Amino acid sequence: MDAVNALNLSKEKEEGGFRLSEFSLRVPEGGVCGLLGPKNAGKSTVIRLLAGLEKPDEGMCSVFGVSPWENRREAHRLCGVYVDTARMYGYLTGMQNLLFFGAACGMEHPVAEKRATVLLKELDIWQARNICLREYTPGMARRLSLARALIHRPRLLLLDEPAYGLDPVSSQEIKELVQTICADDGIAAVLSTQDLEYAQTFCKSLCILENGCQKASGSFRDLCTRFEKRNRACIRLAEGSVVPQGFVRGEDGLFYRDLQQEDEMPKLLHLLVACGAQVYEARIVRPSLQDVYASCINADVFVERENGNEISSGNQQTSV
Amino acid sequence: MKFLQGTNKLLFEKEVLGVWNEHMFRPILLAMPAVFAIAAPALFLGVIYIAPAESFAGIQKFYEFLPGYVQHCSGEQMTYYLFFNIVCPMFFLLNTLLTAALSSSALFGGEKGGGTEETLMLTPLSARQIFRIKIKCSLLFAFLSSLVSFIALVILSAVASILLKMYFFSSLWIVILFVLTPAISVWGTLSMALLARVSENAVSCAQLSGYAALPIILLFTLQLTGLYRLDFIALLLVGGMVAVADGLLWGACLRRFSPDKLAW
Repeated sequence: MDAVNALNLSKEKEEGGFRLSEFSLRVPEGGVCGLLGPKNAGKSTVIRLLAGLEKPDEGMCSVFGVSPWENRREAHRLCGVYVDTARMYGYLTGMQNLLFFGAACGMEHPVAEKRATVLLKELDIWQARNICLREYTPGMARRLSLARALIHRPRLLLLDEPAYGLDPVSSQEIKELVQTICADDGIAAVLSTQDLEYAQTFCKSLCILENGCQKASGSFRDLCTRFEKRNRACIRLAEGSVVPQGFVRGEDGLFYRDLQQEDEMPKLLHLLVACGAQVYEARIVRPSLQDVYASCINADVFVERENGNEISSGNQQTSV
Repeated sequence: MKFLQGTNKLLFEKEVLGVWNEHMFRPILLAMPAVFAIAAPALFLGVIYIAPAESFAGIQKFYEFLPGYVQHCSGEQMTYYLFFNIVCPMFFLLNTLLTAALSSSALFGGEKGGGTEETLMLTPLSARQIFRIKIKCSLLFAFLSSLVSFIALVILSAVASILLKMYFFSSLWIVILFVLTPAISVWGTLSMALLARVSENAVSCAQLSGYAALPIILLFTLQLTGLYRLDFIALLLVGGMVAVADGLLWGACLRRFSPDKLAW
């Protein structure tokens, strides 16, 4: 069964227009999907709709076959949700907060205590377990919120920018923790983030949004293909060398050429050397999500062609 | 008791801690019964007992509001009877109302101000389950405060009976205790729960509770103008009207307490 299934989800703004328009997504069990896009792109709206915090104006969505709006109780047993606006109780200690939310999720006290202990240790806030939350640093509070989302062993994590606004060290730690927890427990995740490097390494599928519109989705490889981002040969030649055939000179003074396949590289080098070029350095430059993202956000792509069929972005179903 | 088991028990304990940990509200919640049910009646009793009888000449015109069986009593006795059965009920009900309103503000406005309401909505707890527990918690505070106030009034009344040689509790207190106190507690709680939707936090919500107190003050003080008299039946009618209003508020609250209405 799919962890997430969303079809043509739309949410209107109160002042008119759309916060999200015809958004569709499919995430299988254990899959990790990254929602990317600039501010006000609609990423948080997707998370809130999937979490049952808001009702879609159009379309439907389900988590493990359960509608989060119509059956929130069951959906929240299955999901762990992290959104920045959902805080915890400042007058309770870290441990008390987790025990309370564990009980709210229907866990027996000893089971919740055991799980809270594991999570507090894993998230490196065990030392602060008996301190009131109001005395936590933002990074520690963020970790505790993550522990709250994980306390009931959810099968799906919905995370809205879990590392946003933290110092680089805390941010990196949070990202690694999410990655480890999802990998170890096989938890599916939908993650909204602006960290493209992180999304590229962690997410099995990606979805790029802008102004509430779903501009592109698929695996990183799919997106590279769609936006024609290929591996490139990069060489550094002796000063004053002429531009070899098929190469273009980059702003950094190096020469670049698109590769259809990686195994073209040895042949290319052999040819260059045979022609008398003095090659000081040669490497393959792989496309990054940054390249894809820049192309996608800058390009006005609303219709994509897949397998020769024209499909509007709202109707596409993305499989991880 | 069903609501004191499992998750509900934990939720209830958390709510009680939530009210108690509102540092701005705790002293007020403690001070109100002390002022309304202990300090004010005790001070008045002291003044009546110590001051000469001629001092009460100004309030003799109010004696006509007293029932016939009190009319033959002394000036001190009638003055304290007047205070105990017109002013004290107002203080008593104000304490009940404001305690319910402040607790409710802390519970509903506090969740909103602290950003925790949304977190509760992310648990399998239903919005109505959370709402009902909060209402019960607020009513518990109102009940405890009323109980403490009433015990204090009983003690003061006993002291006054000894000093002034008269029994001061009238039948009005039956309606006040068993009809008006519960109805007004529910009114204070529900009106603040509803107003919390438009307030930013517990304090801004609590500031609105003053408006809820105004009808009670007017109800008891305006009878001194001679326009009406709050006897047993009149108070029973007022209680009935508040109970009907409670029913309407309850319906409005249940309709509005859903995650769709969260500010975002």
